[in-house]
Amino acid sequence: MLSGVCLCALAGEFVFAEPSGTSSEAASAVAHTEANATLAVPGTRLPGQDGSQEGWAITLSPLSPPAQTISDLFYLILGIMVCIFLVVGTTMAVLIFRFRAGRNEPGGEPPQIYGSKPIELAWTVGPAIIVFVLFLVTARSIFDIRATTPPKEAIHVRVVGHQWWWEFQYLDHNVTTANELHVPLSTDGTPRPVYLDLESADVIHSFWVPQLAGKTDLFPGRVNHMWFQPNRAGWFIGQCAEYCGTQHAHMWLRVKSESEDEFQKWVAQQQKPAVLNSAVSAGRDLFLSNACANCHTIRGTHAKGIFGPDLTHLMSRETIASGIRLNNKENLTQWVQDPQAIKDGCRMPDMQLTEDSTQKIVAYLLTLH
Amino acid sequence: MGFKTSRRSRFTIRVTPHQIQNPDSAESCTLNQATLPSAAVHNPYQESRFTTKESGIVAFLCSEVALFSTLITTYIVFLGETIPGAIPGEMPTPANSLGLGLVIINSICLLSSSGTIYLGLKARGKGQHGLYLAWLALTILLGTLFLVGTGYEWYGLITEHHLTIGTNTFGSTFYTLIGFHAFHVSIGVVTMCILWGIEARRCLSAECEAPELVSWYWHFVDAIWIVIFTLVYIIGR
Amino acid sequence: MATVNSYSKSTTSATIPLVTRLHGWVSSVDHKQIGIMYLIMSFIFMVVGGLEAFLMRAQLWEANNTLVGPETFNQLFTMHGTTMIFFVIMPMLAGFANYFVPLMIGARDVAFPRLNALGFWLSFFGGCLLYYTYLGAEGLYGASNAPDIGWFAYAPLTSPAYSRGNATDYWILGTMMTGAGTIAFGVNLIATIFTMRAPGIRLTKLPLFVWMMLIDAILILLAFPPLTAAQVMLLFDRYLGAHFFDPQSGGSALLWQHLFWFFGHPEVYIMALPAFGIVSEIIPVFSRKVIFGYASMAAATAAIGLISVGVWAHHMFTVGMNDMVDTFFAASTFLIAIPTGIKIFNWVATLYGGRLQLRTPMLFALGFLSMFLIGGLTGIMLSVVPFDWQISDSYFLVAHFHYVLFGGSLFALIGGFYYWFPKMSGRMMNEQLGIWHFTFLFVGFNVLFFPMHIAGLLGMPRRVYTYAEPEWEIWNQLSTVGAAVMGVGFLLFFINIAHSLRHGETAGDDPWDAWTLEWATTSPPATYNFEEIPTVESRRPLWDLKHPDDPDSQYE
Repeated sequence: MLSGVCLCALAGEFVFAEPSGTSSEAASAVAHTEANATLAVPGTRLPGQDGSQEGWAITLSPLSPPAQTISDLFYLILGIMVCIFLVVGTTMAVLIFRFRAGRNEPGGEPPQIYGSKPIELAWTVGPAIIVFVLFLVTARSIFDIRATTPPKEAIHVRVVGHQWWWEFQYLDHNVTTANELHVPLSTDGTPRPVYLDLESADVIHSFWVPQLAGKTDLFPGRVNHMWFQPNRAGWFIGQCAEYCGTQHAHMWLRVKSESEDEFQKWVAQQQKPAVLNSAVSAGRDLFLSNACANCHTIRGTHAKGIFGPDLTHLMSRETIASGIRLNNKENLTQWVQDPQAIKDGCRMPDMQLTEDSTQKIVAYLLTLH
Repeated sequence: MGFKTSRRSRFTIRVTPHQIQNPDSAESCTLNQATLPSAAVHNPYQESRFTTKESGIVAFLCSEVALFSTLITTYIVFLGETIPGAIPGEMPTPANSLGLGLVIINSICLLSSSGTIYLGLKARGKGQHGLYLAWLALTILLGTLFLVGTGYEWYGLITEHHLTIGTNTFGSTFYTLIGFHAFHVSIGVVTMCILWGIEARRCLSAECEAPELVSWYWHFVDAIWIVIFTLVYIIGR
Repeated sequence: MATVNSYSKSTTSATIPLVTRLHGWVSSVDHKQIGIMYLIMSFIFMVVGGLEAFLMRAQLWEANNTLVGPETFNQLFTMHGTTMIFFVIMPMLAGFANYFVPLMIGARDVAFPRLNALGFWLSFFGGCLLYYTYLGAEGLYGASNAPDIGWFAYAPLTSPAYSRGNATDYWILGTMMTGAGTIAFGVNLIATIFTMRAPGIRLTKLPLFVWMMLIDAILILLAFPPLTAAQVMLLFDRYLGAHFFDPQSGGSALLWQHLFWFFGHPEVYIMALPAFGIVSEIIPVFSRKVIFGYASMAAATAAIGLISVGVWAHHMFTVGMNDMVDTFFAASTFLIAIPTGIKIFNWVATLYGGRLQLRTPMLFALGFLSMFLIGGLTGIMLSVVPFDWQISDSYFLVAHFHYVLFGGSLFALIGGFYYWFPKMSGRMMNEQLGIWHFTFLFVGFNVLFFPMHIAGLLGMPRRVYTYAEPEWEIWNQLSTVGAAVMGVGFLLFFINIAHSLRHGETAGDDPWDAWTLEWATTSPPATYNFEEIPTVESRRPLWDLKHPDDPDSQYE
């Protein structure tokens, strides 16, 4: 009965879900019209974004080999478990119904059955076989998925987890960015897997983008490895999956898979130093003279702080505050004015800026494409 | 099943043969946990290999084994670890800071104290109360010497080799492991002092299990020391 | 002096002043009174832990809710988890073990009554120490901060840098104190079971509850000391500048996980085994049949105990251990599924050919059976390591462990409460209220926790104070509704207890027509339990007495 309720709800989700496959421009148009949206569309997992989620559950809508292996595994295991549940559960239900004491039962106890060696042997060997099969399947898939030596064309990214944002360093391209990971699409001709070296600057985090791969933890003092290889363009959403403190809930991950050309364009853009627009020099000076430069890097200026995200190409990102707000003027202003109001407990203090200073700084930041 | 009250004692102690050597001795006891007059001692329960108190101590010692295993495992895990960025030659390590001389003397004290407490119990079993007290006092002395020696060793490590609990992981694991052990030795010494005090006033009866159980604890502490000593001072260096 | 039994109907109780009676309880070393105090402690913390859970569910009702902020929510899930494990389930099982193990083996008390009292008060004060944090601890956000490090307190989140103030230290000390009390309880139980059995009760003739408590006590002795050691190391890190878990100085955050889960996994079996034991008593009595396959039940329990110390790293599959290690722990986890399955089959087989009396204790035992089956099956799913890589630390995991710990352990313990309440108090609980309680609890439980499987598959991680995904909302709302339904169930439970204590019908010695020794004495038992220590010949001594023509001893 309960499963019936769930199934109905599930079916409802399916029926009323938006069709996938809308164009990316339409999707971003939808996104940007909601200027002041609090936790807006691009931060969520709605279908409608390019190529993402087609199945009913993000963990079962794989678009990368590790996630695909896991998804296939899931249906196999689920099938076996459901069978076991039906067999044992039905037996139980039948026995409870059949042997329940009636009202007018004759007195005396039923025959006492102490055991049966053949039956007990059977239900020891049976589960042992099932479990052994599952073990073999498990062992095989562990070795299938685990990170091996990266091929030449692989993209190497060093991921550093911070409280509560993600730092991405493209080792081969000399690019550092934050929170949004761009990767090139693998096509049949040129597979371009992405290999991640996972580290942490503070506490334990966990990198989880369900459509791409299972999660792997980020440990301080230790380097973990994982890989994925998106086979579709689009945005993939995830978030930190190991409790890491106050704003663990708002440490979102966004991975964009794009064609090789677009990726190279993006890389080239990221490699440039920051835009130097004289119209916003007031804001730039404020940024550099306030403590902002102690935490943030803007390449091409004196700002070389590494405690906070690299802001050199801030406006190339669609979101700020680790994915929870759209990157637009209103949200940026609110963030610079008082980050604690948006992300209570985050490591960026309220800088006690005047409204005028804030506007100038934001005007500067808005030029950092 | 009425409510008849019974004057039966709640605590019965199983008597083992070697404990009833002097059933007629005038030892009376002011402690609550005294045994009944020997004629009435019987065990209403199913026969078991250990007495109740013996089982309790064995169970407790098993939990202590789990505790020390954890500390020992942690020590092994960090053997050879260095602080990232530290200059290797300048950090205290087992090889360059642990000396064998003092620790061997300490070990001789501790391990021979196992022998002395054993001899003491044998004397007690034979009714040689004075000799028993002498051996027990010697055990306490040897245990105390071990503690003093450990303290002296630590003093040397801290002042000469600058090894503290916060220096590096070797310091952390070393002081924690040896410290826990020394703490257990201290508890043993204190318990034996209390036992000595009670026994000196001729308070415990011949059937009382306490001295033997205290000796089991003491042997356990010594056995753990053998493991620790071998690991820290021999293998680890 | 003889402790006053406040449930006795003797006329002297009316004239004894309240202070004296309370003093009698506080200074009691009687295993029955200590058992009841453990149960009372467990119920008090159950209410508190339940309110914490309810607040969390209210916060998670909808996306971007602002009912409680992140700091508070993080404290809530930390306190909820710690409370339910250390201050609800552990005391409840200790309460039943304390009360009934001596009775079932024909002893007059436990081996070390004063140690027993010490163990209880340590457990209780450990809980009080932890809860003091709501009043007086200093945390990351000023004063009155409960710890917010999660119930497993991973390093280096617990290091002084990331957990300022002393809230974390209260967590360490509170759980350490409780742990010491639990170790005392374990020592006591082992000594009692090994040396104080009535004549004829060989170790192979132990009632299953007692056998499972024995294995449980051994597990306690093996599992709690590593936790204590790890907590001392953490304290040294925080206060003496040690570097056990400090990666910047050569320490290892991973070490904490290994040490903690080396305790943590046996701990969940420590919580499960007494439940298995209770169910192994209830199902036979209410099916009117002997347990099917005693020997394999006992052997399976021992196997579970043994294997459970070798599976701990299945909580760490995402940590990046090497493949062989992952495979090993997957194998051991699969292995432990086999004896667990055997037990479930044995219980189901006991139902066959029986005359099932679907009274409240039996309802809870059957509820246990079905919920533990589901929880166990999702557990097997989780041991498939790559699948674990997807849904570990998500709501799927939260669903799994609540199915086994709540649907499993707690249902069985509540069933045990209904089963043994007549013995402890001399009165029967109200059957109607009991059935309503079960219904609300069973329905509410499934509505609360089943949707979490789906939320997990939809990508919702655990320990998040809020979420933005509209897709997750319906499942969270279902869960919150389920929580409310369960709350009603618990209310009925406490009403039932309060009502039955005063107005329940007299129980008599043996209201369920059961077969183990505790039913051979008065309800409640006299202080000395039995007038004479009985001599026993089989696992069901009262069956032998009631059926002298067909005694168990012929068939065992």
